Amino acid sequence: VTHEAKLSHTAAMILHAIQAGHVYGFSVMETTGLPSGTVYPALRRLERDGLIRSQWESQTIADADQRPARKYYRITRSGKATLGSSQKRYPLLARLFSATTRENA
Amino acid sequence: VTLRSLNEAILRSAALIVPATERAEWFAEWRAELCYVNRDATAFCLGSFRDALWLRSNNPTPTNRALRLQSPVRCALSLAVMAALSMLLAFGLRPRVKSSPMPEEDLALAWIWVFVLSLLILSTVTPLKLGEYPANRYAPSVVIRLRRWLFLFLKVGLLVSIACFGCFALAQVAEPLAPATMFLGLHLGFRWALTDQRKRCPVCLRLLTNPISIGGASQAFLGWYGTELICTHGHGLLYVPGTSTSWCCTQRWQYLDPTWSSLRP
Repeated sequence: VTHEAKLSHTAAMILHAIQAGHVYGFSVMETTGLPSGTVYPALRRLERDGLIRSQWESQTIADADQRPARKYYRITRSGKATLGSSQKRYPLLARLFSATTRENA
Repeated sequence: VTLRSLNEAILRSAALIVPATERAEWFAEWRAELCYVNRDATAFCLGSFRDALWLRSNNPTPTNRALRLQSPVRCALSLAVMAALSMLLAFGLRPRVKSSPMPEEDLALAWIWVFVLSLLILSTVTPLKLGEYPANRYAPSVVIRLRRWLFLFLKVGLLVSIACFGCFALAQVAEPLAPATMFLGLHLGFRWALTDQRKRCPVCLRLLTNPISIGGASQAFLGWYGTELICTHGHGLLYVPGTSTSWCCTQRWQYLDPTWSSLRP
């Protein structure tokens, strides 16, 4: 995947959300307001394109919290580069997520 | 508890669409995420169908069904097994229920009428032509060409059996639905038989592979565009036009001369 790969608006929004620390599918849904039928297929597509990678959290941690283990997503180096180059295309998205991150901080 | 069971059932139903190799992990992810959904959980679960469909349509490994049907023998055997199963189902259901109020002769006539009607409608809604196969010196012998037609008639015969016995079985439990289902089954069956035949090599009858798009619709004025498929046994190439034109209105087969024999396994 080249850094010039074009991202759709939805994909860019999801990548921003993951970079901002919303690493689970449901938290991406809550942050972006997108439905589950959009977010999860987009996550699969981004993972297939090497822009994010998924990992299961440790079963020990999940057992300690008495809940099932969750799969989380991390943005890859290629994903960061693609997101960086997409900022020219979607400047408002970048501003929105940086403002949200500042508020949360 | 009921809503939770319903959501779980939705996820399990969607999981059936996911390729078997990814199903367990997919289900575990959705179930884990469901624990965090505190409102509109059913809407959340319904979204799983889109995810499952995406995984199914983007599965990198070829489906078993495609592998089964690639060889003509396997294709014919699969259809024969389906015909045998529908026949068993039809005769298995027969003694349990009351006999049909319609006399058997009228029933047979009605079914023949549905058969003829589906053939007539097929000829109006889809082209029946199988493509152009040039009769040059590289063309196969008469026996091989005859084998191709026999294969088509075998497929049609088996599909008719599946539709007839399937509808006979359906008539035992829901008689009013049987004629419409038979018509639909025959129509779709004939269409599939034609489509499948067009995608096969006329020499070895295997399904053609490696589709490659050539050209583009925007350049159609000066050049050909469409899809090219190849027989993996090196018998030839199939050109399927993207749009029907006066100089290329149907798919065209090109036999490969012996210099291509190194391609053959």
